[in-house]
Amino acid sequence: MKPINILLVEDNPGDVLLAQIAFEKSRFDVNVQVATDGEEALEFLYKKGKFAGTNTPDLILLDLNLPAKSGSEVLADLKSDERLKVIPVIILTTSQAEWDIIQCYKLHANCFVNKPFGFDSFDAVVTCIEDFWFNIVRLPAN
Amino acid sequence: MALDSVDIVLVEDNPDDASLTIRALRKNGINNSLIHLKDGEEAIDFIFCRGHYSQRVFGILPRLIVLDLKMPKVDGIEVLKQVKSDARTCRIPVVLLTSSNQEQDILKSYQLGVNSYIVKPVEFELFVKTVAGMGLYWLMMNQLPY
Amino acid sequence: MDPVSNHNVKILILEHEPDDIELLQYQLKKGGLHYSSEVVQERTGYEQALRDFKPDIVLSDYVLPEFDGAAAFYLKKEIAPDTPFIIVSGTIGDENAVELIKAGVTDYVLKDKLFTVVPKIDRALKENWEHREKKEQEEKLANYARELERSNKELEEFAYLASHDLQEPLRMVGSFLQLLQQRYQDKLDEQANEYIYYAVEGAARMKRLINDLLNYSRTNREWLIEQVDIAATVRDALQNLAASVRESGAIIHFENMPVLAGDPGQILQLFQNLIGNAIKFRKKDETPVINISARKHNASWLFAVEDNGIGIHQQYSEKIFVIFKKLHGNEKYEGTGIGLAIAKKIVERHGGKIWFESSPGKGTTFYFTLNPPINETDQHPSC
Repeated sequence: MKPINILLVEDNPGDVLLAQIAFEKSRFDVNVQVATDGEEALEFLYKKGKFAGTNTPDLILLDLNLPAKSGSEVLADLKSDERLKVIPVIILTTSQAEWDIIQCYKLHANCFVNKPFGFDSFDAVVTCIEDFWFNIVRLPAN
Repeated sequence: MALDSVDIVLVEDNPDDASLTIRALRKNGINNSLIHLKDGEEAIDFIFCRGHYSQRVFGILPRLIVLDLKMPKVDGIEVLKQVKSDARTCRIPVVLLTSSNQEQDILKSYQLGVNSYIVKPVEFELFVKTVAGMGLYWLMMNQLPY
Repeated sequence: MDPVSNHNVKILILEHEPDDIELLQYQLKKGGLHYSSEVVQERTGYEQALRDFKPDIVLSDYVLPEFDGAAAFYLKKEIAPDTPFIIVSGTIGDENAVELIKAGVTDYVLKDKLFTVVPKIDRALKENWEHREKKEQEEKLANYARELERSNKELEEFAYLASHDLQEPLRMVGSFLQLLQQRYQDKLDEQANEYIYYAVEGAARMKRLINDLLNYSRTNREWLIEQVDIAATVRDALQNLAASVRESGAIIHFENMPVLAGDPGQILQLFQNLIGNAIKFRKKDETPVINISARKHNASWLFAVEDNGIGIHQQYSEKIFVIFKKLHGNEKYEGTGIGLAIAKKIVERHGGKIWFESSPGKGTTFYFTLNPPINETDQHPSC
């Protein structure tokens, strides 16, 4: 089975580290790549500059609260691109604001998950995401 | 059951699959109100409060639509297209639960904005597990819009 | 303070007959009024005096060669709207007088009863002073209210932003402390582990506080109007409270719940908080029984959430709705003390009121009304 590529769009190095630790223990062959802001995420997805030759991710984990270009702007951009829109986007954020949730779904986010408090809960969330998206769901082939 | 507030809309033309799906959800503690509709036409009437369901109040949106792909009259792709292109309903998560594992169906569905595409496992126990996993993920893990 | 006798009254007299001026001045002095006056006879002088002399009161003849008392009054109304205006005339008829008083002229004095002029000035000045005081007070009050509303709004905005931004770093503290605890437990001595334990606890508690604060300030920031099925909402609330319902063995009855317009998330929170409280403050030796009922009351709905819990003393009737106000210590009942403050805010946001009746030791019934809002626009972002 070929490895699953995940693009994590996250500006907080602590959160990046938490995600990496959680994915390290994965029973799936996961390859996590990180973009630390919205612009970089789009450059990555369009394989521009230093990202030439990178794999198109199978799944995107997107934080909403990003410097400069916000998560919802990135979401709007990539969901209006014919080629990129098929990649499932999981919004991973601390925001529980109804407004954010509705707006993200309207922009065609595939789902909206809250970053929980504490490493154990975070780990559980990552495992749950893996089980659902890699085991139960059929992702589009790249 | 009050038709105005339904959490899960299950659209499935195969009665065996439908009852199996409902059983798997209930067994895993997903007791949300659910309506089973037998084809795409009925689904559209229900969601948009038309035809047989014209008396329904539009205000309360279902929280999750579980949709089969291959159905008589109006198929799942058409229902998905209509739900996702209407500003009033596009925020409802739609999960495809289908026996089709054809790449073109999968791609087309994601292009039209399906929230997740799930292939029905043939094996009974795996089917139950898959449905349960789907239900738990969408109704517990995920933050749903009202 | 007596508005009249304590200071020098500036009187503007509009009169062209020298005899009448003299008589009037005589009466003013005789009446014991401390005053200074300026006498004008025609329009230009009158207008200028209104602006420059700034009289406290105007005494005007009714019939003037150039223009009449009515015109003089309207001119004054424009230049000095608050200054009392008394007509002094020998010829004014009753009909005219009524007409002028209606238009806003303060009073009139007939020339053959000129002795009444000082009492009438006194009264006019006093009323005018009272009126101005009242108006000032009202303005001050309105200003206070506006200021309070503005600073409340600012405070809420601050609370929201602060708590939202505090979440991120706190999550880092909590998560990495937990990792430290798990991965380095063997390498640390018992005391170090105890320290970490308290730090983790503190972070977790702060997390709850921030969450509640966010929920509280969110009630004003976000506002959706949809049709809300209350029965389904109560079921959702019970599902969210499943753990404590199971643990306490609580029995919850509800029937005949309406469908009404409101904010679905907020109404869910409202029921969840009230039911959650009813379970939390149960009696130790009794199965909690909670009855939820609703009835239509004019345009609004009156709900009651009745429990058989420990009850609340009436003396706390206001306090319990105050943010972070707890009646019990942390050891006895967990919580941040914000649930009822949020409930109150949600009810008020829906144009209703919340109150309770309770007999300590027997139980509490919370009542609240919800007024379905009309014509509020749904503010969803577009697709």
